[in-house]
Amino acid sequence: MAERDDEELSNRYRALGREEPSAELDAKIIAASRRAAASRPRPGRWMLPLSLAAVIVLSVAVTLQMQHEPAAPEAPAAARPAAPAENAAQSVASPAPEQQGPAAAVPVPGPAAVMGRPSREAADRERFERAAPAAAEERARQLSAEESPQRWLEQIAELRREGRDDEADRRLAEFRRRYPAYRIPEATLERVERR
Amino acid sequence: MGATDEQLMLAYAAGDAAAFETLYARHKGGLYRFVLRGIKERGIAEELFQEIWMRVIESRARYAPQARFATWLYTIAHHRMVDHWRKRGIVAVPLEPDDPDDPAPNEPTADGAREPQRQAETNEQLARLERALQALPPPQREAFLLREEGGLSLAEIASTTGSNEEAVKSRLRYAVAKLRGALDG
Repeated sequence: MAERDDEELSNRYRALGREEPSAELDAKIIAASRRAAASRPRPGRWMLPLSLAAVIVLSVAVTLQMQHEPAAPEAPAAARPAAPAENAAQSVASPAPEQQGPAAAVPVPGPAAVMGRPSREAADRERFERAAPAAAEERARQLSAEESPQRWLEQIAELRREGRDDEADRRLAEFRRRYPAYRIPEATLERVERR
Repeated sequence: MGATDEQLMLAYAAGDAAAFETLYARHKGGLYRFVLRGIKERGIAEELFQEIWMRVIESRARYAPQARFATWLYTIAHHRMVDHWRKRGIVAVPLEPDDPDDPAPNEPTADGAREPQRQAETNEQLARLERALQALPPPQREAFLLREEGGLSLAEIASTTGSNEEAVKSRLRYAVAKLRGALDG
């Protein structure tokens, strides 16, 4: 009932007239809308500052990255000589079918590769896989030795005990270059110097 | 099936001028009558109508279709109307005689002259309705016009006018009762 009354009222209301804006008013508004669409100033206003900000952020990021860079390549560099040395000595076999990953692709197959037997392949692979962590350990030892002169000297004494005098000499010379003012205690000196 | 109002507004914001023209054609009549019947002074109503569309054009980049385009459009219109009322003090718009330059389809014509008495009664009834509409307090008139011209729901009228549904329902109830009373004579 109320809905029918509302509908009746709506019909009467519509009968009051369906006035529309004049053609002149339409033209004014449409012209303004076209001018705005053609100019599209908004994106342009912030595009330039945004691009500049992006360039600055990128530059800072790259600079920071480069400052931290030197530490990273040393580990692979230390690992590199160890692995090929062993591989060359053992005349690495060709990669087995299951060795499709990047690690397997590193050892370059030598002329003897085609003669490789599965057992040797497995042994070589194991050795190769162990080589990188071993090199990393060696590098870690060097780093820790460099941090502490005493530990460095202990390592030299160790080399001396093992009879690796040339290496001990070289490392002792390196130590003295690095710590020219360091006074090696008498007892230690006996253990690190060549007799 | 044409694009929705919201799609058209987004297309216009992206630079498609034709999208605005479609949108304008859809809403210009309802919005014009909403403003005209709320203000009743044609010159001022046209000025406000133009300002509302200019605001739509200027705000195109900030438009986000969280609600119907019509709700957004009439919210802009509501704010412009409130500014106008505030300048004049919030009172019922004074009654004015019909604009002689405003041709209404139900005015007596050569065809309408066939039933002169009935037509005269209808005209009288419509004149009473129009006077009653103008005599409504602005919030009641606005709620009624938003429903009739904007096609807005109770919730949308509440959102447009910054009110709540209960208040809108009450305004509509009063408005309808008074207008119906005017029709009954």
